[in-house]
Amino acid sequence: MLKLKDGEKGIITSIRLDYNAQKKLLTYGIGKGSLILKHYSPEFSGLCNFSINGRSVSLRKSDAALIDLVKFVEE
Amino acid sequence: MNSIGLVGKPNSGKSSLFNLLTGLHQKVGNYSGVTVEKKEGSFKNYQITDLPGLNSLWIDTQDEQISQTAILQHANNQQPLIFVVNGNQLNGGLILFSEIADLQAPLCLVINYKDELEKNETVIDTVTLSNQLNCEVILMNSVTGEGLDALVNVMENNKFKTPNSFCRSQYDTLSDEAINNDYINRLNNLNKNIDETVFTKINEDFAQRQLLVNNIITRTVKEKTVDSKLMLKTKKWDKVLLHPIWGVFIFLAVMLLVFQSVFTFASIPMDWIDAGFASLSDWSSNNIGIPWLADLISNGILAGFSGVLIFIPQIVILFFLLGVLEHTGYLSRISHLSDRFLQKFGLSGKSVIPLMSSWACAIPAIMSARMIEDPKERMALILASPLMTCSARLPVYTILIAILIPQEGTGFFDIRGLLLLGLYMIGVIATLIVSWFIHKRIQLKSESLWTLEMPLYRMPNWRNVFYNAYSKTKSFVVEAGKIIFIISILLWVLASFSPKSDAFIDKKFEEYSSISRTGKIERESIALEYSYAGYMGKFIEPAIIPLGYDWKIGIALITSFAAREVFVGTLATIYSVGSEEEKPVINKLRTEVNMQTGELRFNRSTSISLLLFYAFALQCMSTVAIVKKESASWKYAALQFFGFLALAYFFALIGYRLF
Repeated sequence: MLKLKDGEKGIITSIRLDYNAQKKLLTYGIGKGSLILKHYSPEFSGLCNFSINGRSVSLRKSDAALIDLVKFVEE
Repeated sequence: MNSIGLVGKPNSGKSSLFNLLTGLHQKVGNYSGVTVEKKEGSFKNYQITDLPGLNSLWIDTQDEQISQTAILQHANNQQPLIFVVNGNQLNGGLILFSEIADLQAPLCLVINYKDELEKNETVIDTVTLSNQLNCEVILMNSVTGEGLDALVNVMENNKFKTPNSFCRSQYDTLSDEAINNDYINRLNNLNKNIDETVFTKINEDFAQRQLLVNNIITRTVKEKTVDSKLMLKTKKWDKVLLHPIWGVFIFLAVMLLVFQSVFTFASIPMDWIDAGFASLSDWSSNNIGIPWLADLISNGILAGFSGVLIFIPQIVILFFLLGVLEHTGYLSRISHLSDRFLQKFGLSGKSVIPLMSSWACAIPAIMSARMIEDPKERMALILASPLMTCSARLPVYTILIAILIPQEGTGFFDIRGLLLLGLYMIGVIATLIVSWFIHKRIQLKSESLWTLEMPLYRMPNWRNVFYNAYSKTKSFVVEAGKIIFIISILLWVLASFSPKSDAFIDKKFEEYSSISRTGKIERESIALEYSYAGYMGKFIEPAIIPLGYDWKIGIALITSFAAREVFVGTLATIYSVGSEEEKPVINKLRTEVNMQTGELRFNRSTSISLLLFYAFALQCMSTVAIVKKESASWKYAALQFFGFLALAYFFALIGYRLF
């Protein structure tokens, strides 16, 4: 997720967090196949912010690094 | 009375709707987790229950457990639920709706933030949506009340319907109640130990619901743009407010403004309260015919209450300003900015507001720690935050600093101001270190994933901001007031009664009078020396002599056990100065001589030792009571009290020996 630039979208391909964490993410609507829009992950901050289904959510970069995705380019 | 529950995701506007319906002024904020326990109120002949927000029936926190249980009860008793969803987050909201719909509870769907949907040019076909879900759908603005008539119509004509089920077909042969109980039991059992098999089931369940909800949304919602106007506006503000340089400067400036306002604007009403209690105390002393009762009221009860009520202006202003920050959505940005730094100490960005609230008073700060999901972090915050310099420490610091540094500084910099700043810094550093230590040592399960939802920036709803400040202040006065009332009476009894007879005290008074000044206060001073409190002071004297204190300071330590600000008043009485004006108290204390050594009693070593003692000691019974309530354990409250006392003793001893 951290490789996405601000304003880019991506589709989640795998999540390498433990199952409890994955379940928590699911309750936010974040799971394999979800489309997310990255907002920002400032250098000084340990957080990465993105939106999904109209909700703006921040995760710690250490957790976000364990979420793999492919860049989504709108036609 | 019919019972109706309000359910929905966090920050969907349930509490605003609850306030609108009941007028009970439930706390409302633009921040997830505002409702931390269920609140009840009435509207016409309905009992309305506002339940904490939950993201799913696959619960994560204790608050969500409260909601899950209440939803199950409503479903099994066929009592209606009003499901509130943020119109900007319909997708996620409807997935939770689908989970509750499968419990077959009578439902009505309220889509909130109608005004924002209109601004974003988002159109929702409520008729088609209602047909798809098989329940009433109402578009509302829970702040202005737009759409309330339609909701009242649903309630009065009982138009709640059992919605279409989403993923329930596998249970068809069982009764509704059996299905519901079985479903929730399964959720809770599976939730305890999530392995790959369980997670696959959960994932499939969510995927199926997501598919169904996507189909419904495609048919019923028309959005003009992918990113709403409000979202774009929020992004622009975030670029400034979360900027690595400007963001931090703005944050510091906002905090400076908040705390300057707390101290500046509160000083005048605090003086009024102080003067009001002084007049009331004088009046009761002069007009109540029974001397002991007059003394109990003026020196016990009124003195105790004034110690609590004097902080009301600071608390009102602090919570009003924090309420504004919360309602605008800036609070989440502060959490974002501070998370990385606080992580090093076992805390997170969500701890920053409770920590800063501790500068005014630890009690509301500890209460606001409820919004922290991680049990370990929450406990670290509850146990460490009373080390932050609360406003009750200020009078103690002020008088001790004035004794220590008699000369006022010239120009902008004053050494006394720097010393005060140093004491505040000691509070911050101690809080962080203790928090780190507790986080390392405490045996509680830690959350594996930390999330922070960033709400859209909104103009605050002023009515709700005022009510928030009011309800927090009321909570403080009621919680602290009860304890202070009891402790005040207890201390008055200890300081007013003696195991010795009046004749003995009169004899001692005559002995002292022959070698000292005479007057009413001298008699009181002798009476205090031979009171139960005096004996307690002498009893603890061997323990406090290494810190440079005598039994008189021991009495002040004991009487300030309930509330540290009592220290100043007790010293004034003990040293028989007969006035609570700052100057005479300070002059008397500065010149008081230690009879054994011939040195000044409040010399540099003793003053620094006392400053350090009060920087660490938990001399506040209200805080002890709140910690017990919030941790649901006397063990943690006792550990905190005695742990802080040990720290206070240690640093006071070091201070006395080094200086």
